[in-house]
Amino acid sequence: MAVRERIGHPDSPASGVAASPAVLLEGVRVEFPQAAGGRLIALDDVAFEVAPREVVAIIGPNGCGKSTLLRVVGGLLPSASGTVSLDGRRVDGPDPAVGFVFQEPRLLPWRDTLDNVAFPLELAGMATDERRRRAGELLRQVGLDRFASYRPHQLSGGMRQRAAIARALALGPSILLLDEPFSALDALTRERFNVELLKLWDRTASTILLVTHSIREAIFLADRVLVLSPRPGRVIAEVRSPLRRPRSARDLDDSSIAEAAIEIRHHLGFSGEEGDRASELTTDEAVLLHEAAVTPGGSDAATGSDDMAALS
Amino acid sequence: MKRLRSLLPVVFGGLAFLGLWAAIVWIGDYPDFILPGPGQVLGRFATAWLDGTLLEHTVVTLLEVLLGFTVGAIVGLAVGALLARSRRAGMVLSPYLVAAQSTPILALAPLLVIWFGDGLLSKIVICSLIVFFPVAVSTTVALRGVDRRLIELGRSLRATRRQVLSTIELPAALPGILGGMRVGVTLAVVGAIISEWAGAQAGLGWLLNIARGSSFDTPLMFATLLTIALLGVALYGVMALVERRLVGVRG
Repeated sequence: MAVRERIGHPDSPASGVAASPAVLLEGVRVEFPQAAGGRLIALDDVAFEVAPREVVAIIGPNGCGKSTLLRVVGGLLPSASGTVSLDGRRVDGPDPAVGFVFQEPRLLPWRDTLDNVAFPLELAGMATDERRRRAGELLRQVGLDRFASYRPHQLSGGMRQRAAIARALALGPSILLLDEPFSALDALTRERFNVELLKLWDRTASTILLVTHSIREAIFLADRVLVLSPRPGRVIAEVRSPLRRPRSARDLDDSSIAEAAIEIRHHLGFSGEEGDRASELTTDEAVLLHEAAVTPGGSDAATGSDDMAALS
Repeated sequence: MKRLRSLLPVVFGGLAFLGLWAAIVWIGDYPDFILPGPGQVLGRFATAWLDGTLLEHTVVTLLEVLLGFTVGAIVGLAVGALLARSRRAGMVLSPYLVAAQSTPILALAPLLVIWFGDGLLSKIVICSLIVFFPVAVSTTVALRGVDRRLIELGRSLRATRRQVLSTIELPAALPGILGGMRVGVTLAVVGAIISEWAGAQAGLGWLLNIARGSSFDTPLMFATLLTIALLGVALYGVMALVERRLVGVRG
């Protein structure tokens, strides 16, 4: 219940309005029309809520609609039925309260780091001087101030994702949506980013909804982990993280992570202990089947299928 | 020093060409009105520039090229953007655009001169017609090729359609569009010459006609051709410079 105690965080914008959840989904269903006719049901009857300043991770097999789910929450994709509310407001388009961090940094290659981070402020009509000053502050927060004048192709993968996170924070969002933000990073960098993300979270008072492939990452970062079923995705389990806040790098090796991980794996269907589970697919097998079913060819169809469905 | 060295092959190629040319004239012993030697052509080139003949007509042609290119590029950009945006517009317009482009401008030019007179207007029309197509095609292709993920980023930041166009799509498509313009600017020179050929009172194409028809001054024809080629190279160079300034280094 460490989570609930955090709700009253002093600089939480939501401390006064704790009544409405930061994120609320009710009966959300998402379908995509198929080229061959018929409809692909990506998500079906998804319902959950996220309290203000809570960190919730979503985990599930590839192709189960995790990225789609995040897009629906962020207002980038309409739901066929059901409702999504943020801070008590119904979502019907990209919401100013949301900061989105995509799987790829998505920096504009013709802008330097500073102007990339200032981009949301520019779109919002902030004056040049002010937005450059604000972007400079954000770069300091993510440790990129020395690279303000670098172009994206001059930065390492980790630096680019830092810039993307700084950009997502530019408009001071109360809700951060992270779509496998560290999946392109090597394991060591990834752990460091996990620790830094928690520090950032501590300072920025945001609610975080995060999609990840890594069970350990989910348990380390989140207060609760929601497990999605294979397509059509729906929430089949909720596992609480055993770690107390504040967390540090030491918690990465906490033995309680392993216990929670076993529980999550069990829900994902590859515990391998029970006889009746043996016939079920492992995540990897499910991935292969989904790739074959969802996209004709393409090796990065695993995540690509979600992306393409979302964009078509 | 490195730049200079990279120019060496160009210089050598030029010298070899001149040498071959001189040898052919010397071996074949051709009269001047069929094939003048390089020395004569360069001499005529110099005198025609010094007495102001080439300058006067180059200015006329350059003006036609610049105005025609500007009009053609603007219309090409607009139509290209429309085609990129709307599948239906593409289906309706494409066949006509391709048909118009497949009709040789050489065949159209006399007609356009009849309609628009032998002054500047017909030249601008012909130039812009010929510039329009490569710019429109490259704009369509470049805009369609913009990374959808960047556009989604813009949407997530609540950019208006106009903002998406001006801050994401156009900058992303710029290299492709400028590539089309680079092709277009050399075609604009061709268009200007052809249109002057079809009927004009001045310009390098007109001068070419005069040198051939009434004065049998073949060295002047060569000098004029050289000027036209240099004009094309110069304009192409300016476009390349603009491109480097606007696009710079991208990853």
